[in-house]
Amino acid sequence: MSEAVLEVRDVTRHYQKRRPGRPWQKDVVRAVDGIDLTLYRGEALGVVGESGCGKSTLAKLLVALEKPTSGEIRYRGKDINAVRGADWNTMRRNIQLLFQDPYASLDPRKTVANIVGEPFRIHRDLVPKHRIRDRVRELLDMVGLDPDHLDRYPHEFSGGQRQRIGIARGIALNPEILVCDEPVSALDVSVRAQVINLLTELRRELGLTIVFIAHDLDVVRHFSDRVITMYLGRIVEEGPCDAVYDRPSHPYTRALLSAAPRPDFDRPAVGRILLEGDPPSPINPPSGCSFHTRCWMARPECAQQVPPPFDLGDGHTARCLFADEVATANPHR
Amino acid sequence: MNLANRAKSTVDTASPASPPSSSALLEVTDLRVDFHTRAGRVHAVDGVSFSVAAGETLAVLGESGSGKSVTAQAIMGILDSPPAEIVGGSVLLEGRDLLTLPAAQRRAARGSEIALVFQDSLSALNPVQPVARQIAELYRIHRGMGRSEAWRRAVEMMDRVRIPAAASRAHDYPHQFSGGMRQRIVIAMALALDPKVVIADEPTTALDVTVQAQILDLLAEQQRERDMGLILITHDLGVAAQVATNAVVMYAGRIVERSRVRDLFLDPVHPYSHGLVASIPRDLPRGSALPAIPGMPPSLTARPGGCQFHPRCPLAQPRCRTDEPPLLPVKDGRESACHFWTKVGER
Repeated sequence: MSEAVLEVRDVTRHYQKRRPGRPWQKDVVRAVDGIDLTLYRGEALGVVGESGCGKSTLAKLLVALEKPTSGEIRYRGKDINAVRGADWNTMRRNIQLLFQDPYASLDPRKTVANIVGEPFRIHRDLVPKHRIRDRVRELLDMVGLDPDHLDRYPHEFSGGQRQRIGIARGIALNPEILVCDEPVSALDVSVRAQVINLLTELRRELGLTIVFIAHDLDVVRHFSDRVITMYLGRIVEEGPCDAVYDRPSHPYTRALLSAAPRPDFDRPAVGRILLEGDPPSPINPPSGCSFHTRCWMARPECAQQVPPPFDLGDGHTARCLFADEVATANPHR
Repeated sequence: MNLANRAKSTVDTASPASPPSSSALLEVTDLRVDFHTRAGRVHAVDGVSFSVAAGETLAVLGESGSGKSVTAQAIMGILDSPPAEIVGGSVLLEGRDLLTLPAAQRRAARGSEIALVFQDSLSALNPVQPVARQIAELYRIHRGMGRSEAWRRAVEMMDRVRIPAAASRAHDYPHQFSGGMRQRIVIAMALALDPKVVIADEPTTALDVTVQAQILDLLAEQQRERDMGLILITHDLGVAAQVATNAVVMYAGRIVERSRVRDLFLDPVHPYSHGLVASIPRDLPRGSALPAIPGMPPSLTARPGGCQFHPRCPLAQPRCRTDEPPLLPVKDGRESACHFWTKVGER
């Protein structure tokens, strides 16, 4: 496997939240609760999970928009929250974030030239001032927008085009890593495929390492080499895409895959796993394996201990005590 | 053209795409809705016809701006007018035209005979009233029940949609429920008066995958039990495939294809539906280009002439720019609004 570019070591991010009705008391929201993860050069890593599982917090942690409560994230061997000066500049330049909502993430009062050109005004050594507009033109052309539209405002573009503007801004500094937080969720179905194709193309051309967060499981499989499943702030399964999708070894991953509505008319209806209830709150996550309250194969010992990673070979691990039984277990006991 | 269209679509509603044994419960014929905007009058719904039989689930597929939600609101009679105006067509519920019904009768029919499940449960519910009271209100107004009787029925209804410990949660306010549970309350409200037809407008779009599966199951089960007609409005092809038997695909205010859901996926007869189905990443080599539809949906104020889809269509010919294709039967009881439907999917 190629070299590691980003290493996440036992990272947690807890938020304080005032208790509704009792504002003098505070709860701790365990948004990310002990994550270990390595991102390798050139790979596309998919992240799946439901809302509240910590996907977006993870994205912000990876680009140093949020500081971990504990643990560290190392880029090229240096903690991204401890670097200063030139190292800080390099880190910022090389790790970029693509936001989910192309309507909220572009300043409505700035022109496209300003939005896409802003990174160059912060990192001044890359492009001389008088060349910025030309560089923005090139970038717009790369993402499939008309370079002559650079003096327009975001509201003059459709959702898909706005996301392209966001992508142009994201790749402006020629980053090494692009973290995409639900990049196509806000887009119309017929436009999604275009944006995914654009990301695929750019990844190949620019040699990007991509973290691809999405809840559309088919899209993640199509785009990513490896995938992690998150549940209540923890990674419950990790592995090469094909291994995880073809042989899900955490009961949650299997339920997630089985619940996704798919136009698959030959899939037998009997194998479907319908989870009960909603994901529990990250304020007081269940003891032991946090999935045990909804798990269709839970046993008493699941509430006692946090399962260690179960190694299934080829970099495929699942945090389930019975990971070797999941793929074959009958969900309808 | 208008008249001819109308006559045709009345005939077509009996198409074998719906089970031949059951007769239509709700029959929408040539529905037209305009919006008065600063840019002038725009056609949001432009001659839409479909029908639903008892026990049938019809998916109305389309992306934002295709007119699917406006269609639902027009049927329910909850369009904001102005700016919206229903300029033509009829909505027959068991032979009665809802559009020409006097306001009082219309109000009485709404909720008790035809009901809507809203997309966004947080804004569909009153935040300052306990949920059971909101369900009970339906029984008090429509059935004239007393306070306690209505409350009892409301709790019963919450139990029917499987809200755990319904009786103890009846006094809770909407914000105290999770998204999935709130959506169940909204469904309980829609089903409370035992309507014959339920329209679900993107009922699971705001929900997580595992919760979405629960809600879709609940809808399907309630529909089976009560033999309702269910119209499922969605942009998600997977959701349509899982729940519906028949489907209409909308594009820029018109229906472009009418098929059984299975046929729609295996052998679409309109280039737009073909594009949608093809862009689902399945069985494609990883990282290969997805077959995407180029361009974007037209804005209502700047609609292309002729076939609305021609600027994005791989099959477009000069004729498509001028000549709007009507929705016509093509094969196996299916309908397509494309001059060149036989070429769809050919490469």
